[in-house]
Parts: sequence; structure tokens; C-alpha cells
Amino acid sequence: MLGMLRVVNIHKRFGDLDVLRGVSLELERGEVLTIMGPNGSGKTTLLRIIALLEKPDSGFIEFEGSNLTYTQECIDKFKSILAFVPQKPPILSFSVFNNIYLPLRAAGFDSHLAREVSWDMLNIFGLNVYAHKNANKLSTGERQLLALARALALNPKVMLLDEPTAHLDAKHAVMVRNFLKDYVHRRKIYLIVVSHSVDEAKFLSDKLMILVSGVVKALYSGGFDISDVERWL
Amino acid sequence: MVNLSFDWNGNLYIIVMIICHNGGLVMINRKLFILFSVIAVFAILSIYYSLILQGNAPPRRVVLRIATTTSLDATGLLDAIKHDFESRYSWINVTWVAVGTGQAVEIGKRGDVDLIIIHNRDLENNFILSGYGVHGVSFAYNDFIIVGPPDDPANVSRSASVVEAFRRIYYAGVYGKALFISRGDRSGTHLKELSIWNATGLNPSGMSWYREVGQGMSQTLMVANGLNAYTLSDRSTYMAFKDKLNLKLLFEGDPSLLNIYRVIIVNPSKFPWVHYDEACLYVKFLISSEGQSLIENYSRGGVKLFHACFGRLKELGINDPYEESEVNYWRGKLSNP
Amino acid sequence: MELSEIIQISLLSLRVSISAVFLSTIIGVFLGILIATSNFRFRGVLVTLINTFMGTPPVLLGLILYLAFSRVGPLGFLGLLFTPEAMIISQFLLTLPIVIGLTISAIESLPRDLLEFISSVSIKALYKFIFLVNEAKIGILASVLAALGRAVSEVGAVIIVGGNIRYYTRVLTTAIVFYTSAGDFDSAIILGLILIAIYFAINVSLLYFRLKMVVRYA
Repeated sequence: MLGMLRVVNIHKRFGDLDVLRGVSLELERGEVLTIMGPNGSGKTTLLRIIALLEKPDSGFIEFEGSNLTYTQECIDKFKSILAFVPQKPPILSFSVFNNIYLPLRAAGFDSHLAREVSWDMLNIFGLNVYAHKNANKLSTGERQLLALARALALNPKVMLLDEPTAHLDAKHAVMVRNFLKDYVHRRKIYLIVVSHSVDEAKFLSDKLMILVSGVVKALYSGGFDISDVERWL
Repeated sequence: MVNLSFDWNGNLYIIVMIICHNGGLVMINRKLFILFSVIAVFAILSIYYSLILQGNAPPRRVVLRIATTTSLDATGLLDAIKHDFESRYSWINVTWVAVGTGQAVEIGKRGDVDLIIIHNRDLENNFILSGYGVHGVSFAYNDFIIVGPPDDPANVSRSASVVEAFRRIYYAGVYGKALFISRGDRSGTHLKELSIWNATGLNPSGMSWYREVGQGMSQTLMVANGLNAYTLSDRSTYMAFKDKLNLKLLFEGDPSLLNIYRVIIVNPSKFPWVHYDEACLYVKFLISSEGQSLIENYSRGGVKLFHACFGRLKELGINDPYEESEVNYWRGKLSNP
Repeated sequence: MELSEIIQISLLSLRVSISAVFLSTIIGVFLGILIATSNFRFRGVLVTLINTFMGTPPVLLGLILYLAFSRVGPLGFLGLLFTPEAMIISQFLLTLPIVIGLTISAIESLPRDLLEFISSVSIKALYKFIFLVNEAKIGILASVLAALGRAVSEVGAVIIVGGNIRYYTRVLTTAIVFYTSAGDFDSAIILGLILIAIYFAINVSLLYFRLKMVVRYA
């Protein structure tokens, strides 16, 4: 076993709404977990909590043996190994190229390496033709590709993707899934994906969690089917 | 590579660092950068300009500072004096702040200027006696006049003295036949007006016919003109405005109405940074025959605004031993340059 | 009034106000971003104070600075009284809260996930700063223009610390005061028109940038 990410009994309440009620999961290094569930079931909140953007009311997260607190130092320490791509990913007001290059520099890459990696990612994702275009002018799908490219370029150990192929056409969706699967396999990272696509879940993941109204209805470790999923949704 | 700490110049530093980065980063935002650099160049130039060129004065000039009153400044006499004085003494730059008489005295008491020129003998005496000023001497005068509505409802023009004139205005006001506009701003004119009311034994403040405007002489005349009211004005301002006003000159000539300007050097023992030598040169110029004739002949719009009066206060009916001793002092300085 | 003097007064006005706003931009944007992205206990109090000082009456500031720069005052040794530099300092202090306050607003109105992303990806504070300035640049520029507008049209601070000395510390606003009190309304009006033209140019630029911002987010 290479390492483990454990989420234990997370509770989160917003106002008078219990968004997460006792959610737990375990993920090994090199594994992919897909979370599925109806809208409003707390998937995004769970992802945000693991990304250290929200603090749970109770419960904790353990990453490779160390307990994650939500202090500034802890957050800073994990900033560099964590990549979170939300549903509508934020884009910087720079060119497409700079949207990968600058975050790499910000994360500590030197200029030469950053440039190389940026061009690589742009090429892989087919965004190189837009390299000098203002990123704000991209379509939603192109923005999603860019955000993914950016997240991958940062070489994270943990990736949290919220509906990464939602706005992509079939061709690009397939490309992204293939790339992710290969990436996880090669780099042995932790990948958690929120998705609405059963095909995607089946293709990518080793584990599947069904989350309904903040409660884990089912947790499959390998070997699940469309029918299993449809039972809950 | 990149310095992490935010020392002094946050933004500019960052923008400079961005430009120094190679590759892919050339246009962080070209327009903004151009805007910023234009402003930066402008600011740098202006800092250079202010350090080196100092406005109207070339470097190493002594800047002589005077605190004086707005009414004197408005006549333009000081500009005329400055012109002649500076052509004689090329290393001196004469500047002045024109404020209310009260403020001029306060500025003098803080040693922020080298000289004060005001026109209120009580304040001047106080200034000198408290040790803030030395060698004060009178050098010019004009007078105050009472102006008012052409039909003169209070019959001011028939008065034998200014005190009587003010009494008539008071009673006319009480009976609703006249209005009086006061400067109300503690200026020389205002203080003179108050001293006359004092002499009448009557107190107009708070009465409906007595209006305090808190403004300069020209605005006060405008208000009086608009309301067809009486007011006390210095002759020069009234003469400068006569054509725009309906008000008529109704009373003049009382010795109490003399408006005497005195120049006082700020005490260098109290404030060692005072430019004493240059201040002396200025006073000497004012009282010299050249200066006095400049003052005597100074006119604006064809109207003579001042009379020179160095050493002539006795003639005008004012007996002041301090004045006489200073006249002798300055006469002495004139003959031994 | 001579044309050369009108030009001199106008240039001095611009020089004083632009220098002051330049300084308050550099320091104000930096402090604004610092405060907007931090989370310490007295942050709310500080922001309230800044918003309060945005409305500092210029004459009051002028009086306080006069007392400070006066020869017998604590900073008298600097010899700054009645100089354009004192005027620049006074307008700097006047506009600093404006720049800080509006920068904080500009940063706070950025979408939350953008702020989160910028925080998460910047290991080095320098980059966080660059990204924030770049994203909020239109709001920040608007704050600078607002500060400039305030500086150019204020009279209370510069007249007390500058002394309205002809050729030296007389700017458009203080010149209007002088010519009005001397009864020369024609000159005062000419100067007033120039002032309005400048203020108008500033506000037109502000409008332009505001429109650009709307288009961008449409």
C-alpha cells in the first residue's frame, strides 16, 4: 500500500440545512473515486471540504498518516499537492498560455520548465492554437479543458474534479477520460471525480460512491454496473 | 529569482519584475503598463522639477515669507513692490500668504513667516509686546469709508463724525429703515468696524438689520449692493468696484477711519530660522524714498490706492512713542546701509 | 489674467494632484490588497475606519497638517510649509483612504472561486498580488480615477498648507478663491472652466473603464 486518504465521518451544516451527514471514504494512492448523486446532494461541498476550502463541523481527514487541520500552515503545506477544479472553473484574465504558465511560475516552477510544461499541456489538450488568445473569450468547454490542463500541469498528488467533462463534446470527453486514466496510472495520484455520467464512472474509477442528501447510500469498490447506480438515482 | 518580500514599492516593483521575466509574459496588460509608465515618468519628472527648479525660484535663493491680509494682496501693491525689490536684490524671492488678519498674526506667532504686514494697531502692538515681532513701522495708509444706498435713509452723509454716522445707522436699522453688512471675518476692516461700534456704546450683533457675511471685501460690497445696505469698506476696494455698484460714498475723513499698514519683522531671537537680514532689506526698501514713492504713485484702474506715510503718523493725528522710536531706528538704517 | 500664468497654475494643479495620487496608488493598492486578503481580528474595524477617512474634510486635514508642518510644530524642521510638496502630501493623505477602500471593494467583489483559486495556486505572495491586481484592475483603476478627481477639485487642504502663494503654491482651485475674493470674477470663471474640463476628462475616463468592465462580464 502506497498511501491512503481517509475521510472520516464528515458533518457539515449550512444554516439549517444538513448538507453532509456522516460521510466517510477511503482512497488508496493510484485509485480513482467517482462520486455520483442527484443535484444538491452535497457532492460539491464534500469536494470543497477535502480541498480544504470549507471546514467540516465534525469529522476529520487523514492524508498519508497525517491529520489535516484547517490552520493556515496546514493549508499552505497542502496547497502545493492539491488541485481542485470546480464546476465553472475560474480563469485568469490573461492569454490561454499564461493561464498555465503563470500558475506554474506561481507554484515555484522555473521559467524554462514552466514554458515546456505549458506548451506540452496545450498541445495535448488541443489548445495550442489559442495560445495567445484572451482566455476570457473561450467557450465554456474550452475553459474546462484549460482548467484541466492547468490543474494537471501543476503536478498535484491529489486531484479533485467537479464534473470535468460536463461541457465537453464527445470527442474531447473521451480524450480527457483517457488522459486522466493514464495519468493516474503513471503518476499514482489520488483522483476524486464528481460526475453525472455512469460511463465515465465505469471507465475511470476503482471506487464509486453514491451520495444522496448528504448520506452515503452506497460505496462500491470495483465491479459495479449501470443498474447498481440507477437503483439510487 | 524573484524577491518575495514586499518592501517599499509594491505595484511598480511587481510590474518591473514582470517585464524582466522572460518568455510568454510580455503583455501582462499592455495598455495598463503604458498608462502606469506615463504616470510614473510624469511623477518622476515633477519630483525632479520640484527639487531642482522650485517653482519660480532658481536654486539657492532666499525665500522671504510674509503673512499679510487679503485686502492688501488684492490691491496688487505687493506684486509691484516685489517686482522692483527683486530686480535690486536678485537672490531674494519675495512670497506672501494672504489670509485674514487674525490668521496672519497666528502664522507670525508660529514663526512660519519672516514678516507680517497687517492693519490693526491693537493686534500689532500685542504682537510686538508679546515678543513675537521687532522693529515694526508704518509705511502706508488708506482709509475706510462708509458706503450705502444712494438715498441715504439713515442720513449718514450729514454726520459730523464716524461714531455719529454709526449711531444713525443703528437707529435707522432698529426702525427698519436700513441694513448694515459686516465683514464678520476678523479682518482689519472688520476689527475697525467693531472698534467704531465699541465707541458708540451700541451693540448691533444679533439684530436683524446687522448681517455678518464672513467674507472678503469685494463679496461684502456685492452683498451690500444687492441688499441696498450700508457697509464699511476700504477706499481702494470700493473704488475698484465703483462702476459695478449702486452704493454711494457717504462718509469719509474721520481720523478713526485711517487704515494704516504696518510691517513687523518676526523676532529672530524667538525663531532663529527667520531670514532677518533679508527682512530688513525689505523693510528698508518699503521706507526708502524709492519704495515710498512707488506706494504713493501706485494706482489701479486710474485710481490711487495708497498714501505713503513712513514717519508721518504725527501729521495724521497719531501719537505713538514706539512708532517714533522705530522711525528713528529705520532712518538710521537707511543712512548706514 | 495672462495666459502664461493660467498655464502655470494649471500645470501646477496637475503636477500636485497627479503626484499625490501616484503615491497613494502605489501604497494604497498594496495595502488594499493586503487588507482584502487577510483575515485578522480587527479587520472589520480597520475597514470601517478606512471608509470613514474616505470622507475626511479637506480643510480639517489642511489645518492639522498646517499645525504639524508649522515651524513650531513637530514636523517643522522639514521646512515643508507653504511648498508644493506639502500640498502633495496633503492630497496624498486625502486620497489614500479612497484608493485603499475602493481597492478592497474591487477585490471583494471578485468571484469567490477565483479568489480561492488564486490563493491555492500561489505559493509565493508576489504572484498572488499580481493575479489579484490583474483581475481587479478595472475596479482599481476606477478607484485611482476617483482619487484623482477628488484631489484635483479640492481646495481646503492645499490652501492652508500651501498658502496660495502666487507662482509657487497657487493651483486652480485656490486661484479661483483668490480671484473671487479679489472681485475678479472673469478670471475666476476661466480657471473654473479649466478645472471643469480636467474633472470632466477624468470622469469620462472613469465611465469608459466602467463600460469596459460591463462588456467584459457580459
